Amino acid sequence: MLRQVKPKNARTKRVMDKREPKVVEGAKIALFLRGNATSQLVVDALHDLYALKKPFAVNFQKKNPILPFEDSSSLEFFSEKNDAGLAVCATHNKKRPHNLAWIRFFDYHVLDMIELGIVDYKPISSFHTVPIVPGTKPMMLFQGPSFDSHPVFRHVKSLFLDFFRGEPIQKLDSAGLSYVIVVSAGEASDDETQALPKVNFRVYSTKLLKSNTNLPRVELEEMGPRLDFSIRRVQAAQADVLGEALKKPKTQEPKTKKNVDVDLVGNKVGRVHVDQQDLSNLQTRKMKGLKRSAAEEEEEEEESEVEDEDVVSDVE
Amino acid sequence: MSTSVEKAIPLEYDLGNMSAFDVTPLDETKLSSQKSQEKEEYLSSMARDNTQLLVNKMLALPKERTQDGILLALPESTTPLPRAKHLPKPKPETKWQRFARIKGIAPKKREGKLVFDEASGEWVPKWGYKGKNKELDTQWIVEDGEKEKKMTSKQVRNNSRNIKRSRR
Repeated sequence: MLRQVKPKNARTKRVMDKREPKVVEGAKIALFLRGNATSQLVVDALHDLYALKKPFAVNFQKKNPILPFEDSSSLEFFSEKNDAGLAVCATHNKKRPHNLAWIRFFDYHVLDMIELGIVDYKPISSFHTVPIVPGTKPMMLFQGPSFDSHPVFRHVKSLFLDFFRGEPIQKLDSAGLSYVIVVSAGEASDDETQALPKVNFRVYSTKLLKSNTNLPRVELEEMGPRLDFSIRRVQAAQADVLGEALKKPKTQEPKTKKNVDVDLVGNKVGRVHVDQQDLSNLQTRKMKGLKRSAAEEEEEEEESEVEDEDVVSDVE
Repeated sequence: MSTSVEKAIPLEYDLGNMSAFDVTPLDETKLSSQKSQEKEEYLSSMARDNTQLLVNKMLALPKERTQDGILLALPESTTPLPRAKHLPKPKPETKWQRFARIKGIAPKKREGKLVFDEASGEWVPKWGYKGKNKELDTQWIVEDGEKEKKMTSKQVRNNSRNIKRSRR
């Protein structure tokens, strides 16, 4: 944990307030770093991913002695300093060539990590299309049954959605459907000895052409980067921390009152539930309706007399 | 040029995140093909079909026409994604906030400088350059009695007193 800074002027106070947790969060800032040893390929790939993530990204140029899966303290320090919710660390060694470690943070502590090794790569510069305007929200497609069934692929899906989705917006300009990120993977078997299928990461820019219907015809043009990942080490999130991170803010919906209805005529009708009354303890002396009037008492006497007479006649 | 796509298993959509999820199994032979062109063509054709469906769904959302273009109203996202920071804890009310709540004092809305002028049908500044408060000074035709400023009771009292004094 860094030392707590007390704001001494309005500017620093504004910076502190920007970093305060909010009910509705904006886009997560991603940190792009390099490990102790890197290869040209992995650095180029990192640079392309940075271009896709701009402006919610911070690119570090220097190498850092970081080993994400061994010690996460320096990663957490970087996350806190840069107010980053995501990080990608590029490394290269004989055992894990062209490695990218994707890390997610919650409250500046590591939430989960996954290592994806680059098997195939084609940079943005090799595709001759117009680059996207940084900050555009991409469309995303996940193709393959494993993204729903296998836990590792569900992690990959959640990670990519979180990474590339950008700011939450309410209204989108119809011209904003400019590019789509397509992530595909083959079927993953439950057998742990078998290798997991590769993840194919493609980015296409969309062209909406006129068609004979109201809807436009969609044509795709690959714009890069083109990456094929093999899944290496995975560190899943701890259940309680993940539960805390997935908490939703209490929405202020008007609470509909139970047992109250409006009937067809428009009268407000309600049901009142009362506990069972102990009838033996009822105060009957104060209830006028229960008092026998003089006329009623006479009636009862007459009735009983009539009954007696009938009985006598039967016997006879 | 058709815009409809046939799908065995319909896609799942999360329009708040502008995303779609396709569960149909992919052709393994094409995916693991050595010829990259075959693989890329397969992937891009699948992607084109799914993107067509996604775009169709997006354009079916309620639209708002503005000067800048057509705006689509995106719904709330349905996929649960972890937050970067915890939910903010509710802060205790300040003394002023409590007072304002009890008294029913709402924050004063800034009106701004412009005011709608019924006669011309335009927004004119209330004061300052070409302000509406100077309208009477610059009008070339004035009704009888309109330009005269009404006197307050204090002014009336003083005026009558001054007239009496001058008569003395």
